[in-house]
Amino acid sequence: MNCPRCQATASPPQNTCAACGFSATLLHGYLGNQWVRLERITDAAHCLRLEEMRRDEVVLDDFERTFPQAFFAAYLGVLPNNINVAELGFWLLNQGAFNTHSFSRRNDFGIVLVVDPATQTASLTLGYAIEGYFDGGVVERILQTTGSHLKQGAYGAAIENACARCGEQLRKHARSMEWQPDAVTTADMGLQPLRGGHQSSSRPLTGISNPRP
Amino acid sequence: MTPASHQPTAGAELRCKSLVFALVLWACLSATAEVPQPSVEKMEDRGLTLPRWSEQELRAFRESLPAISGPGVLLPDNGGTITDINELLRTPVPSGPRLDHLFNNPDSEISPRLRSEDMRLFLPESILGLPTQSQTKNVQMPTPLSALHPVTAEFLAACNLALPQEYLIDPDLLVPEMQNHDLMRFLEFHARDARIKLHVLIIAHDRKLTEDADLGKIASGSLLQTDACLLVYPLGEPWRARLFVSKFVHDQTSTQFLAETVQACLHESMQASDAHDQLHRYTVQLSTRLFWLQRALGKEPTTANEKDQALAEIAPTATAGNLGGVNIQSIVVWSSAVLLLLGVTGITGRHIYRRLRLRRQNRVWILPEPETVPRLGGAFTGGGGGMIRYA
Repeated sequence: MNCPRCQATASPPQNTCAACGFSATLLHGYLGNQWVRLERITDAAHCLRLEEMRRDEVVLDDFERTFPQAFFAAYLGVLPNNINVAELGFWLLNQGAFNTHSFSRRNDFGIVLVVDPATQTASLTLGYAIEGYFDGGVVERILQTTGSHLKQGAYGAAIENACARCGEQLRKHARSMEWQPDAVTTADMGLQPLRGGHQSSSRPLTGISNPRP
Repeated sequence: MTPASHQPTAGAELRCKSLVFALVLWACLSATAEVPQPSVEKMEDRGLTLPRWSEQELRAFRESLPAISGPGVLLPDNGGTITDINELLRTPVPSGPRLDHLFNNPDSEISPRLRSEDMRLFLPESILGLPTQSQTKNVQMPTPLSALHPVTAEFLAACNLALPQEYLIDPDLLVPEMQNHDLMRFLEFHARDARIKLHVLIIAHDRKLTEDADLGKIASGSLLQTDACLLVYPLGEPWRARLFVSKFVHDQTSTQFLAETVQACLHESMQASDAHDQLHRYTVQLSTRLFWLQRALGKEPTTANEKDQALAEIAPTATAGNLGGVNIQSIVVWSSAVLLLLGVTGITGRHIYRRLRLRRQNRVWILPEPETVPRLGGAFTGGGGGMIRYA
């Protein structure tokens, strides 16, 4: 894996980049170390039309339904000069609380796409749990395809394409199973079924079945 | 009687007379005012009485009459005699031979009255308001192959007995007289100028020509004596018409032209719905095509050694024109079939795709959870991924 700032290779035990001294602590000095709440798509540069935004949200919903553990987020904004898109992606995935459908998703299963239309740069940041499924070539191909859309100004299509390609790559390493609604989750959320009285576990009605001997 | 009593009596009598006179005068005046006065002629008629036969005159008249059974006596219905001549003169004979009865009888020797059926002989039916023949006829369905019967030997014999100049051969008299004459005149006109004589053999719609029929003997063998064309035409079914030409002409002519001739004749005949109109159109078109053929072959007839050859049939099924027609039809059919197949395939593929997509949507993908060691101080990511410049 590479350093977000200098792209030098960083091995697991390193807390700082040996080449440039980059670390998460260094970023905290610029961006803070508190948790930030973010939507899955943050368009600070106002690049997306409303239609593209809604379409991308549907795509991200499908992604999260297909991969219950993972999520995909995108940030489009003009960054300051002293920070690049890879550093911001690094910081967002470590400090961001993304507003996904399930709060139980961990950020180490997250993928963040950061686009800076001013510098025309884009980065794809992967969590620890899934970075092993994306080798350098795969990430490069995904970014090249995304970059071709970005070059045409199709930011919505770029997000959709990146999400779809990441899903294809993850599917190669994931295990398929039948989807079942999580009853425990709905109960935890305080939701009760409307027709609970029809279930076998409900209390039976007395005095109706045998009105008279 | 006293004078005093006498005077009143005379006065009363005078008064009575005057009263009676007044009444009579009033009655006359009232009658004059209410009743119209009769004319002078009536007065004279009233005065003239009708002459009546005296007994002597009547006896003399009876004696002068002929006998009862003699000619010229109108007999009453019941056959009784009339004794009184006055009664005979006053009451006419109630029934007997009348002129209008004679006119109403079509079988009488007197010229019968004309009826609408007779008017049809020289007036078109449309003018008379009668339904035309084509309207009254129902649309005839094509005769199925199983219902086709070969022509009889008697029929062929009758065809063989036809004269060489009899270009319309209709032994069963299937063509009505008027159309027959028209067609015959047309064929004679064609034969006067054309090198290839055209003979038309009419068969019934449910008849077919046998394969072993010797067509050379038709029309007394005249078909083999010169360049000829024989059209065997099932009335009402021009698509089953068979066309024969002399073998020399057949060999000299391209197959494509002959095929186009058959197709053109068939196409022309199918423009009409009436069977006789179809025959007429078919024949006219064939005659025109034969003139074209004559222009291509030359007007000189074949030499003697080339004569006496059998007739060769123009098979419409093996012709290029027909193949062209079939090709268009088959192209349409095959195109429709391919489009239908593509449509069904597309619908099926879309259905399968939707089912797979739905099935995929109902499946989730669970990722394994590997043990990771943090890098660069990041809790959830250590710089995994990449960055590009897309400018």
